[in-house]
Amino acid sequence: MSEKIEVKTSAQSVNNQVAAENREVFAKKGLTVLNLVSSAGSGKTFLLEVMAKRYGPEMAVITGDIQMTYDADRIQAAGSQAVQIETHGTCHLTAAMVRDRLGDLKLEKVKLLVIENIGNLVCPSTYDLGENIKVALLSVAEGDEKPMKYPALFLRARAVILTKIDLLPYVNFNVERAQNDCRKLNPQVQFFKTSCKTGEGMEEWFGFLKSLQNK
Amino acid sequence: MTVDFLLWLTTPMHEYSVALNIADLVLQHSQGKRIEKVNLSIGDMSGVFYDSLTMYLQLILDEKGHKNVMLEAKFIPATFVCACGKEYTTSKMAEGCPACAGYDRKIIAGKDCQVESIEVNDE
Repeated sequence: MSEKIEVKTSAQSVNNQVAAENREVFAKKGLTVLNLVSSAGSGKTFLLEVMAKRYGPEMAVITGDIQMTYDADRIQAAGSQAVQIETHGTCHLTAAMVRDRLGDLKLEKVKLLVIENIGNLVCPSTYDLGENIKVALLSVAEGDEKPMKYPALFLRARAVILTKIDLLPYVNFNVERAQNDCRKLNPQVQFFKTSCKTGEGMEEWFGFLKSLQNK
Repeated sequence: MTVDFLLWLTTPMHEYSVALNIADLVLQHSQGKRIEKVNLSIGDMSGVFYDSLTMYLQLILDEKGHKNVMLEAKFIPATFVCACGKEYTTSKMAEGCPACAGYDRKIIAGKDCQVESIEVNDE
């Protein structure tokens, strides 16, 4: 006999459950947690190198890539702990992947935990990892129309960091348009114009991080 | 085609992991009976692409012994409520509220991909 069974459950329910557990663990440890999301090559790791030089042992990073440990190596060399998740094909990090590597970090002195997601503007935006906020990076070389073309991420990002602004003289990028579009998608968004190469805009970013911290 | 072969052939899209989660949910709820149909709802802002999701889900269910399961998905448009109180549905994020043209809005539907129900048969 045929029978209909109500399920009414999100496909993300398993991930959301683990993310909620992560969030509790992070809060108990007094960590501020960022989930850094952007396309590949927008400058996430360079930003983390600059932050590692500033925060040293007070910051730790869980970094995700399809393959290789280049990113973790760079962040460690710049002065912060880092562990590398290699997903071997999966295009985003999940809450369980983060949970499973958390034990590899010594978190006693750490105030700021940054999860560097796989370089991808689409999939990582819908996976909650237990972070306090999502931060989107957008480099001027990618084009100013990206926020509207990939709204799923920019709807959810509390902060947007425009990177590589030292390249503005060489590319057609309308900063005002990108900023306005980000505000349309999320009126509460904090928008930072930065260059890790020249250091421009970094103090504003550090100031914002300080306002988030709870330890 | 098997799931393993497909994963060898291509880099899995994130619909693969969504499909794995859905297959788990469906199997948990099936009470060991044969699954005939899965009813899904896919939000416009869920980031899930229907064709990829159903391709993976069909293969995964097939390998779990549930052949020829019918998959049906209802598309859920993105619905917003504006600070002015207006509720509206749009897929054009660049356009503001149809009443006040503002952008101070909250998304209230269309963010999720959900298993609504399943149809099983014990014969």
